[in-house]
Amino acid sequence: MSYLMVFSLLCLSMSYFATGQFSHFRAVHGVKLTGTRRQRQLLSAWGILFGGLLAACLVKGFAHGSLIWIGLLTPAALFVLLILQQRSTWLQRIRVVALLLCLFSLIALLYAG
Amino acid sequence: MKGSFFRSMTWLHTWGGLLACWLLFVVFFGGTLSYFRYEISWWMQPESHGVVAEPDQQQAVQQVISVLQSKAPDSPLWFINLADERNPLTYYGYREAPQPGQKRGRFVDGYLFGDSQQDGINLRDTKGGDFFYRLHFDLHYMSAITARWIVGAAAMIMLVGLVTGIVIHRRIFADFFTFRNGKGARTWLDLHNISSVLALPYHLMITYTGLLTLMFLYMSAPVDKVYPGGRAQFFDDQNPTFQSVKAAGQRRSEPLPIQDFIQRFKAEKQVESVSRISINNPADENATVTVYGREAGQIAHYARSTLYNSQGDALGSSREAAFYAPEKTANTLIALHTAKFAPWPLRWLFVLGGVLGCIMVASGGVLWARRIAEKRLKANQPMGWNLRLVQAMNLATVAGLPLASLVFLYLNRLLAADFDGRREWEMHGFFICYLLVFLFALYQPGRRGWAFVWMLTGGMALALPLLNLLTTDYHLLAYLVNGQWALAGLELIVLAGGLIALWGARHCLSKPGIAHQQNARPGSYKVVTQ
Repeated sequence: MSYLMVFSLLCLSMSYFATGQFSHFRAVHGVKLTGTRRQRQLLSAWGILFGGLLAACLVKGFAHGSLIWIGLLTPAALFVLLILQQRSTWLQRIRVVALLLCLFSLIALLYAG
Repeated sequence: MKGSFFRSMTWLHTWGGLLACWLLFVVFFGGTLSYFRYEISWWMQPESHGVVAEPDQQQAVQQVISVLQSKAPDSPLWFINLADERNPLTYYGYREAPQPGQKRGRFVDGYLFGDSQQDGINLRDTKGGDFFYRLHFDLHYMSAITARWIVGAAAMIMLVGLVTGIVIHRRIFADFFTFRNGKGARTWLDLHNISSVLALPYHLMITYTGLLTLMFLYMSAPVDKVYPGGRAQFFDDQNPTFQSVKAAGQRRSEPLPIQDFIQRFKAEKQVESVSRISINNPADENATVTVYGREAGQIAHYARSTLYNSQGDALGSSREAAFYAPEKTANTLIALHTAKFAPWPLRWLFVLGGVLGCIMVASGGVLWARRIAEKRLKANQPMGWNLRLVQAMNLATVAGLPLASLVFLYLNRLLAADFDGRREWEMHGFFICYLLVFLFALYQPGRRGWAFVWMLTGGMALALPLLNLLTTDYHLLAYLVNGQWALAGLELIVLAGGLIALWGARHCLSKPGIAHQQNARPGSYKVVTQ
């Protein structure tokens, strides 16, 4: 569950990093990315990225947590890349699913103690 | 320097990479398969597939000791590896007394059944997963030391390649999620960049820690010169369990209380279970027992261990609590390289990093050849033997190694279990296949060559579970039903790999690309479009 939670957070973060780029933003949202909006996208991406690290370390301890976080960065980025390549318009839906999975795994972790 | 700093870095990245890419691919490929080293070994010994691991470690120790007492009561050395979730069998070994003219006696080993712990299981002789593990730093057909120097040089080039790659990749963030499909050399460049950048922490870690694992070979001079007594004394001091106690020459009246040692060790070292036990001169009054702990959850390379004398007094103990900062660093970094501590999900993340490493190295080699071919095509120049050699090496290494690995697995099932030298012939088969693919690639280095080798690989991979079914008493469904996920997983991975190989073959045949036709003059080739 902890892997799922960190992976969903990293997917969310990577998706914001992707839409922080002009070409991907246009492909996903169909409109031009403005400067303010870009800053907001990148700020969200960095925030969630560090949130993921914090969550991983809290659940698995610093050594294993940081290792899991670094390790999951790769599949999360690959997943977002794949979505952008195949169905870039799905990225918004993927964000919702990632958020739901994150909440689900958090509840499961809290329930398991 | 080539004009500017940026151009120098590009030159270094390109030529350093090209020089070492095939060896680096072998190292990455072997290293990645090494994460499944025990699982491959288990699959390659089908006689053990019916075994269920003995859950009670105490009972397993008692039974293996009684077997050793009956088989080799006067042996100078007993060695026991206890079963765990990845190794279902209890392994034992003993050294026979030396014959006249011999310095050391023959080492005999065997396994006990996990469920009944009865002796007598005859496993086929195979190198198993250890072959890939050894291949990734000891290579083959040469001395291990020479091979480690060669692999060390390649790893150093890899490290330089990673650093120069970061320098020359100016759009590292802008191209982070960019992959342009069907654009010739640009597609290969994107693939090279993605596989490098997305797994960059892994690539840096695995290369640096790889060099670190053999640091005392590569940089032995400081220890040899500065440490009193040199390297041998350094290692003795670093691990006080490395002590030899001479035999008294008097026979023990009672058997060694191994169980007491294990209980004491567990309490002293705060470990849940024991991984192995080594007993020197078990029948002598001066017998010594070294107990090694299993590191559960710890990111540590050096196992906790204690050396006991026959009375149960600790003669020496691993000093993890008293490690100096460099020892702690090495302990963690080497553990990161070997990933023995890693639970399955984390292990899979390491595997993903390894696969991306293979893709990075392979795409780099293919990209170089593709760019040169495109340049020569534009200039209407002959292909040249050097480009053909690079293309052949690319094909033989990238597509040939998976095929050779399948040949290795096939030979394991097709050679008779009692065939003399089967272990060697499995390995010879691997290299013969590699050589044959290379010769074929010299003849057909283009897309058709790639398609043929991928097709062969795909076909053989898809047929592997069938071969297992026909040559043993077990099969994929049985593994799934019995919950033997390691064995089922291996066959499922091979099946998935086979499908990817077939997709690769189809892709090679369907896309128009650069083909090369041989001219009448030997050594001279004309480049034409297909």
